[in-house]
Amino acid sequence: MKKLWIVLAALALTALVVTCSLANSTVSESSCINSFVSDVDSNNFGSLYNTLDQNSSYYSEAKSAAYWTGGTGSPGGGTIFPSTENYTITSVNIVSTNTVTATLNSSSSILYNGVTITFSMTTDASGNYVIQTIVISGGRGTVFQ
Amino acid sequence: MRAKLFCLAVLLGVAALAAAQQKAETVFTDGDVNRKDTAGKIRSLEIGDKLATGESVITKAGASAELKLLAGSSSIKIRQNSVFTLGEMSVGGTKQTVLQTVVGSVAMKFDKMASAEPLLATTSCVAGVRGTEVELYAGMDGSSIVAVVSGAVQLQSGGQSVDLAADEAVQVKPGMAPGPKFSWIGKQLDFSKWDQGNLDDYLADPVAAALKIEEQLAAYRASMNELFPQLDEQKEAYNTAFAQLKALVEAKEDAKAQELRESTVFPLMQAQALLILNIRYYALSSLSLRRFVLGGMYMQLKTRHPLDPSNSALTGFLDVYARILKDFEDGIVPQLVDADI
Repeated sequence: MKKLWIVLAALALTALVVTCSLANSTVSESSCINSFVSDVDSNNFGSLYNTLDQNSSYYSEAKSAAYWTGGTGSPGGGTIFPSTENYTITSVNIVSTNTVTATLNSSSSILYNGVTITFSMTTDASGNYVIQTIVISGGRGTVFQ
Repeated sequence: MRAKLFCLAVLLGVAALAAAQQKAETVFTDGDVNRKDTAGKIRSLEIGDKLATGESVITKAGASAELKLLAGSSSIKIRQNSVFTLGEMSVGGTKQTVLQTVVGSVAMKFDKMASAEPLLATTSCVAGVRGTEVELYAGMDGSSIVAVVSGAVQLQSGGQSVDLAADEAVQVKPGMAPGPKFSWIGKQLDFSKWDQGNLDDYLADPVAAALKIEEQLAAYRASMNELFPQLDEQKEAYNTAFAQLKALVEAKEDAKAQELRESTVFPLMQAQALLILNIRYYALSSLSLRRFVLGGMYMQLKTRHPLDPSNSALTGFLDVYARILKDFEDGIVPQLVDADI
């Protein structure tokens, strides 16, 4: 009888661990955006694609850092974060389950000076949040879709 | 109240943009139908799947699929052994969807109420449509037939254009101007029979067929190369505007700086994006031609001469083939990304 209790307890613990690990395996909306923000803040443009929706039109081009910093391979956005400045994204606001807004600044406030950057979000087949489109306001327009 | 209105505007704008990037929905599939997504992954196409710009539908023997364009109710029927791609290019500064039949046969019926009708393309021609029902056949040798059921089509190839009305059709060889118009009233265009004729012609003179492909690829490359000086000009204009913007920011002329950003700097960045979009369009069209048409021609010939590598038709073809591949590597590959290949 005691053995049965031990086995049941072990099974319950295993189930709890599995459930927790499954719950932790999906990327939340805030986690996805924070990862994007962190990569932009550290000029890590070659990793931005990890936060993007694989079904977006320019996903394959956006895998290259050149998509973000200029040069060829950026049909949707053109030059988005040119290397003339560094960039920071602050004031992240999760507006809804599919919309996040934030404030984009460039280091010398030349190109972007407190402009709003809007992300539309979706979930992939595994339930991870990914970025579907990125729009920079002030007439800059859609830079990723 | 103002904040709520801003949030609502953001939500509505984002919803519209997310919907706009999805171009078509799958309403029917039969048999072995795959989609190649923009990440380069190939997986089964299912009813209800939405397709974005850059994605392709590939039907195997005996299979077919039907898509509905999400703008309006236009339908696209993709028949067996076809490769169909949803592309995009800039026309007059506006992004326009390009429905490209790379190989095989596709029937399209456009809703007259659709706000902006897309461009149609094969590897040898591009066509604009107005309230049209049209059939596109793309042959194994890069030839195309565009046949209008209703409405009107303006087709361009080899630097020339032709207007087609209902019941008119035209054949286009790669790299060439459109052939003479012909009426197909009462005739059933048979893709298989037509493409068998293409194959017979190709096998009779494979070198001539390969030279036509070389000509078409040269035309794509020339169109692409025309854009590079424009891109350089755009970049120079951007650098000049950026220097002006920097001076204004340093002089703390915030209002003037903001005006320059919105009136000049950001539009120049967007213009660069559109030029690059068109460079990519020509590069991807070249890739389709090289992969699905030239690759098919190579296989057809190679399998017919497995024990006769010195056959003159084969060696003549391989000479042109090697030249095309070298030009492709030098001129087109630098504009492609890993997922394309």
